[in-house]
Amino acid sequence: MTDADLDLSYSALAAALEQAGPDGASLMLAMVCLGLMSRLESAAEVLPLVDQARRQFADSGRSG
Amino acid sequence: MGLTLSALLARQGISSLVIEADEGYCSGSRAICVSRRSQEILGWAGAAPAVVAKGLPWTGGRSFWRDTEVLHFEMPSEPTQRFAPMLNIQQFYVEEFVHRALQDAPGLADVRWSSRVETVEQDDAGARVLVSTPTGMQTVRCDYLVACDGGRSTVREHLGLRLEGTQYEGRYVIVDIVQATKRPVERLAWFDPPSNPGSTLLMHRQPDDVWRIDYQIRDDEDPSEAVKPENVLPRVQSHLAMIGELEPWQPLWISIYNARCLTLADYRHGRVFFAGDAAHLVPIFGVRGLNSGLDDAANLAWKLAAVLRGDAPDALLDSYGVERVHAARENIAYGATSTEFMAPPNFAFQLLREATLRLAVVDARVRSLINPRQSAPISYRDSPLNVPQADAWNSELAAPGQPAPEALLVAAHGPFHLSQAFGKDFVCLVFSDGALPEAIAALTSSGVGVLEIPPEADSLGQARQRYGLPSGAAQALVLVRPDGYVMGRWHGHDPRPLLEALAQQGITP
Repeated sequence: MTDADLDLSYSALAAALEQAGPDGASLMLAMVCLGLMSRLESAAEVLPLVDQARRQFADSGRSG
Repeated sequence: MGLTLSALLARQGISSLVIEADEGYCSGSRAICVSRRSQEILGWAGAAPAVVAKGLPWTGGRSFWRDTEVLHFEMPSEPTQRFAPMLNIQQFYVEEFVHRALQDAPGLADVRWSSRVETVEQDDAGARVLVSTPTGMQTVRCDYLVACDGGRSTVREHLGLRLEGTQYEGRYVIVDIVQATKRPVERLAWFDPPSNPGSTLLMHRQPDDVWRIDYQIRDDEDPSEAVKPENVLPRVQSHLAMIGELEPWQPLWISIYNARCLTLADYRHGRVFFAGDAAHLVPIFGVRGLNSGLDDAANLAWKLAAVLRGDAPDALLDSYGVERVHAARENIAYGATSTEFMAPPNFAFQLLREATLRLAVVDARVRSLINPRQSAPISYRDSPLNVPQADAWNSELAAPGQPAPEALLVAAHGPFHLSQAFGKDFVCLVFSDGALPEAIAALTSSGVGVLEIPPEADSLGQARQRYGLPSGAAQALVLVRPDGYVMGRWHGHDPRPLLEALAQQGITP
């Protein structure tokens, strides 16, 4: 993934979330996430990412 | 910007008159980050030594989320470079140094301060400008008029032209303060810092112990209240205390800003051209404002000079709009992406930024999203001036339409940088391993500068590598435009396709 492609994907995801609205954003994110997970080789690639996000979430709290 | 254009025109032997509404150099430090490309252009304008002597060079930066570092970026930089990738200096110094360089071209450049453009009329032969001066109204006739009169361009208004694009809501307060510091020169950014929870804050060092501090205000804050010292100074003090900058300080300049991504659809309207903020407005994030303005000047100067000398048809001037509108759209795309991170325009960008900052603490792969995407010269890949390349090359860095790569070379009089050879004439780089064929030496008599680069002059191999030559002994010709962009490149030493390319554009240098 190049930096430019990551930028492009980020903006596209933001546009999709904006369209879904604040109430639909979680569901939209879960759908995109499942799509990405299913494309990885195995759960061994997914589980550390889930765990990493879970730990960062617990450490830093939700609101900004 | 107008002063730089005037200096570049003077270098081409073309006289110009600069009409400046202010009575002197700009007040407030305004644009402060000068890119490597801009330093090259200021070099052609005769101001680089003074700018480099005064400015603070830098190569990278750090971003923090709360009190954790989440990004440390470095721009390409090496010991053999001519200029640092970025240099901080107050805009009024740049104006002063370019103006001083203009004194070396007496009779070619005339600057009229405290003079204001009132009306503009044009016909097939030129433009007529009514100027109000301290001593009364004057009418000025010129072949061409270049409007470098800023975001609120009077000339643009007179021609009934409108900028098109997007205006973002998020507002930033800009503060310059004087405070002694020993901190290294780098771009510093804080997201949600303990000193100003919820805000985003940027810091840059400037010469004379000046800090530039930018911070985002809340959407519900009244902008006119937000710039009042009683509201600005406590936030600044809180942040300085947080980062341990405890020397006494005082404010110099306070302003407010919101990101805009706007451009005219074309920069040429008959005999009138638009350049800089008069033509396009880009967000400050990525420092593309002043830097893209200087690139406008470099692009336009040689084309105006060639047409005025009768060395090129008027149509060459149309390519200015084609190339620079394309550049503005690219700059706007980068600027918009940076703005969407620095001043999220809606809940979706806000949410993704929150996620990015938290993840960036432990996951390096997402850190590029925080990177400010600093200004870099834009490729004119679809320019009508490009000569399509027929052969395979080892690098696309020097493809037609690309800014000609820099290289450190060794000549009889000592080391020099390739970019020093650009900025005035067309230059043909001749990669050779022996004596020059006569036909190439004859290029000089047709007005094209010839710069031979035998292997021993390219002892570091930078030129051969960056211009995509397959080997040290390979022969090639590269035609570089007066603004330092590659127009075409050919394997071998036959100058005919090069001369044909110029002839096709009607250019007789």
